[in-house]
Amino acid sequence: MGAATASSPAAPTVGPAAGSLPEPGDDALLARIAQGDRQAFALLASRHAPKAMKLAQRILGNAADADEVVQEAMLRVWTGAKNWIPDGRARFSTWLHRVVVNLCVDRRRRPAFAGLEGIPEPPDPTPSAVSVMARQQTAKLVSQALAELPERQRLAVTLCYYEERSAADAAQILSLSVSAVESLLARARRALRARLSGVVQDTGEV
Amino acid sequence: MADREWSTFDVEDIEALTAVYGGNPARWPADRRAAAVRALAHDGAAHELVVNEARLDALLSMVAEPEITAARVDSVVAGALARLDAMAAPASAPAKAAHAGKLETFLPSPFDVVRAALSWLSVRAPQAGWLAGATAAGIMVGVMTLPSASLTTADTGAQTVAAVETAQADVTDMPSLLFTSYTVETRAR
Repeated sequence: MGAATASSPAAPTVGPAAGSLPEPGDDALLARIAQGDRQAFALLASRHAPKAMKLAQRILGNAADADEVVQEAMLRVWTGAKNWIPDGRARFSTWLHRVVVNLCVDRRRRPAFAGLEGIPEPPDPTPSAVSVMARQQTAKLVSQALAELPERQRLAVTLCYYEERSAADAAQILSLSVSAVESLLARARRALRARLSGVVQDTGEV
Repeated sequence: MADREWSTFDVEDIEALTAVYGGNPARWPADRRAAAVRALAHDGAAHELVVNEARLDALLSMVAEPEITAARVDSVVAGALARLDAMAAPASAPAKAAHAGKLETFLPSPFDVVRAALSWLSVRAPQAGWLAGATAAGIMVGVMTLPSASLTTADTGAQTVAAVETAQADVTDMPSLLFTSYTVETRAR
């Protein structure tokens, strides 16, 4: 497990009630987890799971796989907590996202199972839905264009664009230099522009 | 792109910046943002570049954000906790099984034999202390050469773990005291 940082500013999903003690930081929870504290584990997992699940679902494209990956990542937190050194160099969330990204990449390399999620939903026949359908169609084309990107380019776009991570953060998560991440982003945008050029002309938006 | 001081920006710099980070200044790195925004105000070509990249950004933003419900989060956390239980269970089970129902048959240790012998002689023949010492030493050597055995309930064919009892021979004479073995059935720890 990598070195870590001072408590990340990870905010709980629900703020502490008035008069209650502030929730412990990530480092404090990790120290407790290292001692086998399951309650601390549940608290840390609940705190970080939503973002990790969103990242995994963006990379994998389906919710069930994303949930499994995040569960696996959380187990690695349990087993790796004793090696966590809160020396201020990295945030726990960055380490967790690196684990999630790596697990997602591993999972994508397995043979795919054609689940129900690949089946398109039946179109809504009501006339008022036409504009909604057009927008959904465009979104689907964009999703396909993203899915066709080379893996690293897609990861860089996911982290920097959708997860709003800085290039420096993304570089840490992907174990790359900042300039390498910037290069991936530039190539990804170039490829997306080329693939979506028809959409650009049709919608006039792009 | 990251190794330069960014006090001024020209069109090429804007092109390089937007090619990587898109047309939304909020996504630009903080060390470049102020200079880039200043350049946009004075350079129409730079402004046009930014608008073009912003169009691609708008398309990318049409992809739906994954919906993460509280129920899903709870399910993931509960699943992880259940897997921790599953990981812990097999680790502790063999250890318990190894101790459960273990039946040990052993002889008293040589030290116990010497101590018992001296204790017996001090009561029955206090004047023969020197003889007792020599006799005990000889017996101790013999006892040390005897094997001890350790058996499990499976070896003995027992199907259940009997109540824990320490069965000690009820003897008072010296030979019986020295040569009666003890059978102890230990409770599962």
